[in-house]
This record gives sequence, C-alpha cells and structure tokens, in this order.
Amino acid sequence: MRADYFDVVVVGTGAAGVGAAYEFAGQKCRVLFLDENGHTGGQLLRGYGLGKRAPGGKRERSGRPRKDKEKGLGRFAGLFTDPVKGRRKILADALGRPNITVMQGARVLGIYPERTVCIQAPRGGIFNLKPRFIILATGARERFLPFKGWTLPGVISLGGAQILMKESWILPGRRTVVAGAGPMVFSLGGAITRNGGEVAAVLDSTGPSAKKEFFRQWPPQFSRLKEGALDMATLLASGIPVRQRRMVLEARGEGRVEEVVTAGVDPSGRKVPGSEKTYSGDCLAVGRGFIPNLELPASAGAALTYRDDLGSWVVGVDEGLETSERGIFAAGETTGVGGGGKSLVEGRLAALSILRELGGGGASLEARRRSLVKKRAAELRFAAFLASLCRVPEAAFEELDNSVVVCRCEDITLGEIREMVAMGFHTPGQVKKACRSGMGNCQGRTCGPMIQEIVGRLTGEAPDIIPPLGARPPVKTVRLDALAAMAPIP
Amino acid sequence: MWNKGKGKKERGDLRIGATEGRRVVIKVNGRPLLAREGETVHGALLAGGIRGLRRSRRLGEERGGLCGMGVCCECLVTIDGEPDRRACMTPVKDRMEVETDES
Repeated sequence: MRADYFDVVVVGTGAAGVGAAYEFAGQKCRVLFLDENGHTGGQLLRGYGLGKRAPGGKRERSGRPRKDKEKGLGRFAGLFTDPVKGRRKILADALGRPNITVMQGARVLGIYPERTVCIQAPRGGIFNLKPRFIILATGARERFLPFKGWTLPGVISLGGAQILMKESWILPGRRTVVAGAGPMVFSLGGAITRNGGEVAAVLDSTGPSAKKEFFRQWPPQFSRLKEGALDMATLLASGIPVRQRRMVLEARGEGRVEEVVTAGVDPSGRKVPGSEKTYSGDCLAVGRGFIPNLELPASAGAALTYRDDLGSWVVGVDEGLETSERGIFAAGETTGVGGGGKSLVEGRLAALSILRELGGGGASLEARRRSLVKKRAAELRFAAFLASLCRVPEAAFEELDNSVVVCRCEDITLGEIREMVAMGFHTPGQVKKACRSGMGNCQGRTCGPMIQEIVGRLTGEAPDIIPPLGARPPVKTVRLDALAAMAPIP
Repeated sequence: MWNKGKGKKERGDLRIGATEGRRVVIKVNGRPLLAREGETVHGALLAGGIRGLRRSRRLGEERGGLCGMGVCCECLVTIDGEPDRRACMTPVKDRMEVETDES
C-alpha cells in the first residue's frame, strides 16, 4: 500500500470521529479511522461499539442492565434516555461504506513533518502514512486533585468506574463513595445504583449557585436536564446521601480503601472546620472533569493555546477547525472539553472543511457548514459552564500535606514539587527535569496538569503562561524491538 | 430503600446481572481465577477481589487501576510473560497468565 493511499486519516473514533464518519460516508475520498481501543465509539459508546462481537453472540453490552435487574426509578431509564442510540447507528452506517477503513487497536506514535503519521498496528508492526489531511480527535482524560491516600488501590476515576460497568459488567466496588465535581458524579452514582451496587454517598464539591448557569444556557439543554434529573431521582429514591460543597480529605485503609474522610469545602477550596464526616466503603470514585489529550497534536507541531473560559490548554483552531499546521485539523475534546454533543458537531465540521478543499460534499455543503459553526458556538457556551463547575479552586493545594504523592509513576511528592518551585523551576517541564515528575510510564499525563496548577498557585503566575508538558514522538510507550523492526521511511 | 435489599445478588459479587459471556479461566500468580469473556483483565481481577496490581517504583506502595482507559499506567501487570501490559486495555482470554507485583 502506498503511503499516500488515504486522503484523510482520522485519529480517534469517539464522538468526534463518529461526526467525521457521518460526513465522509460515501464521499469521493479514502478515509482511514484509527483507534487505540479494541472498539470504536470512544468512551461514550464504550460497550456499544461495533466491530467487536458481543461474547455469546446475543449479549447486548449496553451499560444498562436488563430490565429485571433494575431497581427503583432506574427501571424506567431506558424509556426516556438513550443518548447513544443515534450515534451508534451513524457509526454503523458510516463504517460499512467502501471509502471508509477502520483500524482498531492501532496507536499513533507521532506525527512528523508533512503529515507523516507514524502508526503501530495492533500486532506491533510500525508503518508510516502520508495523507493529505489529518483530523486529530484524541479526546480527553480525567482531571484529578491529589489528596492523602489517593494512591491506595480502590481509588478509581469516575470514568474508570463507569468503564468497568459498561465494558466488563463489573461494579467498581461493594460500597462506593462517589466524589468530585461536574455532572459525572451524579451520573456515576445513578449508574452504580441502577446496576444494583451500593453507593455510600455522592459528594459534589460545588454548591447550588454554581449550577444556576445551567438554566441560562441557550438553546436550553433539555436532554442533559433529563439525564441529570433521572440520575438525581434514582439517587434520592434509593435514599443515597447526595451532598454538595463536600470534598475528600483522605482515603484510609490497610493496602486498600476502607474508609473515606470528607469535609465541607468553601468556594476557595478550603475545608470548613469541624465538618468532617467519614464514610466506610471499599471503593472511592473521584474526578474533577476532563482535560484534553494534547500530546499528539503538540507532537505534530499544532500550536496550543490557553482558553480562559474553559480553564484549560487546548489545541488552537480556526473557524473550520484547522490547527496552526496546514492540513491538520482538530475536533472534539482536544479543542476544549464539552462532551459528546460538541465533539459530534466538531467532527462533522472538520470533515466538511476537508471535503470543501477536496471539492466534494455536495451543494448544501456551505449551508451545513454555517449551521455547524453556529451549533459549535452553543456547545462552547455549554463547555464553559462545565468548566466553571470543574475549575480547580484557588486554595486546592494549600492544606495538603507534603507527603501526598503527585507523580504516581515516579513517586514524586507534593513536598518535592514545592521544593522545586521554590528553587526556581517554574514550568512542569522544568520541574520534570529537576525531579523526574512526569518521566514515568504515563509520561506526565496524570501529574502534568496538577503540576501546572501547583506551579500557578506557588508563583502567582497566570495559567496562560505556564505551558503543559511538552510532547515528542513517540507519544505512546512502545517497545524498542518494535521500533527496531520498523520499515525504513520511504 | 430499593437499593438496600440487594435482591438476589450475592453479597460481595461485583458482577452485574446474569452475564452471558463465555466462562474462561485465567491464572493469576499461579492461581486459577474464573472470568467471563468480554471482561478486561482489570475487571476480572477486581471481581476476583484483587485490587493491588503493582508496586510503585520508589515507595514500594501497592497500586491499583485508576483511570481505566489506558492513560495512567497504574494497572501494569505481566501478561503471558510480557511485562508492563495495561490490565485495563487487555481483554481476558482463556488460559491467560497474569502476574501482579505481589508483596
């Protein structure tokens, strides 16, 4: 196969990839979709994805249990909400088209000059492609705030807990404490309950005033309201304590989580004295919204920018979603975390921008493009609301003990990071070189964003001048024997 | 209320509902563990009561899966002799041999 066989390579088949697939389906261009996961559909459609036959042939891995297993109000959940049904159909239709190829379990190790995409196939072989266009839809990962005991087995991310249920049909714990910020705490609490698990409590660190903005969204967010109301109803009907303005102080236990110490929290992130309460449980699910996966776009040379309204670094894009690198587009969470709706719109928009340059897309292309640009603006307003819930409070690290581990791969503590900042290392990259934080297996994906926040608090510098950790290919861990066996670049 | 009775579910069983995935047997540190096709290694170990998967490099702390989506690398285990495989990204297969960093 020639390296320029494909006109377009799309990295990621999550919601943004689904959007792109919808527009590319049946057009006069050859498109390759790559996904690191063994399934298509990304995190939202995990367990719904295609291409992986359900074991036993019949079993529907829907993430929702069969009706007879549901309890309380959750029994009616399927009647009102199936946010993924439509996307699943789009994916099925698009992936069956002859101009579209999907490679699952493939990892993109880097993007070199002139849009050279370095791919590791599922069996380990490495090869390069040179498409005319690239769409980077690399998605997001969870954001964490460290606390005492967060490295104990049994502490899991909100998304990780959901994935266990959706994909493996396994509850995250016998009795789970759900804590953090953003809508995910409620949806996870609801999902565990509907699947017959026990939830000790659902703790949200923001207060009711933070959520008011939701009702000022235009256009109104009816479907999201419905989902939220349903989760809330499930939790309340099951008698599960739902507490606002509470945070986790410590996870305790011998080698695993046994109890979780929580406290009231004020808007600045300081604990309210005398408000401690301890919950017993063998699992603590925590998370504080999501941050874009910027490593691959950064390695491709795409300029990153800080978006104050979204409270995070994102890939800089123009109206048609092209990055600073000609021919490389970004769509979905990488341009700002806003959930599946935004990703779907952006995936379509990026595909239409490419189709316009390729001279396809039909007569209505311009009109569709304009309408998507408008929809994207609305989604970005919702993204800003989500970001306002998940923003890391000013005093988030103030009361934390020096012994708390920040970089989990290399066991670098908060005390060491503080020391490095005091010595004058003022970016995550400098701190990394000074003390190895971010040099481990995850390559700073977990600790990097936290260190950005810590540096900001300690130096008083604005977040837009503290860049994220740099990224160079290979952006994923790869075995040396695989690299050694690589075919030479043609 | 509804949630407290736990229904017919056995106490402590983390598997949801009557799963139809084919039963497979994997070996964890030499001991057999029952799993279902479609589960990840991370999920199967968790359902088998195994949370600690690796020891951290410097402090030697026990660690378990955090992100569940292949990012954090806290769930690295040895699978069929190959070290540093992500348990959360690897589906179980019959007769798979998994080794964790035991104490």
